[in-house]
Amino acid sequence: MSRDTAQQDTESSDLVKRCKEGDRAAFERLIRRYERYVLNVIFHITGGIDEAEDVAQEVFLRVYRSIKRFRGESSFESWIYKITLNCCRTFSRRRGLIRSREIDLNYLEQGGESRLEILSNLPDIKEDPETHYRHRKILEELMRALGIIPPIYREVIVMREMNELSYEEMSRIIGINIGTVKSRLNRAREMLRKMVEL
Amino acid sequence: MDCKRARLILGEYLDAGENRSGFENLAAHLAACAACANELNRERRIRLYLSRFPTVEPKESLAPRILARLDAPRPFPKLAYWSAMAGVVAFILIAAAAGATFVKWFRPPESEPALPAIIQQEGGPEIVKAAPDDKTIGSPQVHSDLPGRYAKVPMRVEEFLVDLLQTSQKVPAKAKLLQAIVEQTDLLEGSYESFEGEGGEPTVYLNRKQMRVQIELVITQQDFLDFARAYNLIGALMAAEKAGQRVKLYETSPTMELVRAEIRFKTADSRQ
Repeated sequence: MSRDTAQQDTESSDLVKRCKEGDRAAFERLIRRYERYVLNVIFHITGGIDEAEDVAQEVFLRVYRSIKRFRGESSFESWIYKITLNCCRTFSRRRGLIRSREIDLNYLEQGGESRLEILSNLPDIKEDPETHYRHRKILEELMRALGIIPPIYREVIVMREMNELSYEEMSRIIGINIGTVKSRLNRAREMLRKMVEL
Repeated sequence: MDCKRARLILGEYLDAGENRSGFENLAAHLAACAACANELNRERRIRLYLSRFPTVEPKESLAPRILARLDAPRPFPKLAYWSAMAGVVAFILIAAAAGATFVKWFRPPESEPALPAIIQQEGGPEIVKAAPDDKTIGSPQVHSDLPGRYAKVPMRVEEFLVDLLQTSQKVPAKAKLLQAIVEQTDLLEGSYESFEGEGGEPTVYLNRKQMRVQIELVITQQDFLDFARAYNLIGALMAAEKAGQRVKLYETSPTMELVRAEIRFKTADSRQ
């Protein structure tokens, strides 16, 4: 563990302890510390940008209500990830009644009607417009594919490739053994390779 | 190693980084198979694109809005409202459909449903196969003399399982059962662990895109009797009353439609 990581863990532990004592300022600092992380997990798993902030609010409200029961047996990051995942699942289940997951890169880059700001991580368009266009099409195709594969596979892709979680962390968060994590990841990656032209 | 196996574990191979002990067979295959080596490059590129996915930035106002909600009476969120409305509409439609289905399927009891044949595999557990034309698979047949609410409600096996989890199991048994289902099948998604800070109540929902299902259930004698009697689908379960309470359901399904179902009975000895 790096020194920075260790320091962050200590700060988080301190904030959690103060939150348990009802310190609102500490809870606000906890939100500030994890809001970007939580928001992006939600966005990547659900693909719903307009609702991501609503789901994030729900996550932090659940954290607030249940933080006294957090015993520190897992890291706070794992704990909040687990809550986020549960909220995403609830949200996706509800949304499934209304409409399917849709992602539009134009919409995302323009921000659509969202209150969120999008940071595109695509290469700079000024360098090579043709290459940029090609990258963009592949990325759109990949986003669409990620939206189509079943949620259990999408979740492991997001956890591993975007959030860089270890197999062990994924196993604890999802509640499956490491062998199942690996097999789900293998299946998910195979699905994506079959669905995306590169 | 064949190409199919090699392609399945390409991601795991990349995850291993420099420490690739245990992947010698794959490395040898990649050195000899240009198609799989190309597939490995595709996997690398997909990772690169995934790492470049768009990200979102929270607004300054997010934290204040959360803090404002801490003390406020819980508002009825827009999404929840529409979900509730959709639920009401869905309930009305389902009730109408269920009524129509009941009228269509209902018939007075004629005789006890015949138990499916029990097939003894050599050296293996007994397997009871439901008849292929058994309408209780996927759409259970209705029998008016069955007890409780299941008498008039056709259910799929998945629904039966969810109901079993939700209504008939104590929390520890429920968690154990759910753990088995989540770990061994794609039928249900959810968390089976005693969820820290969430009251230890597992959440489940159906994975509607499941492709393959394998379920192992351990149910109590009373649950077994109550539920088994409710289905001639699980008419085979009635035989399990004599054989023991450990039941294994197996099915393969491209969608939610069940195309095959086997019920495997294991005696206490065969569990060892």
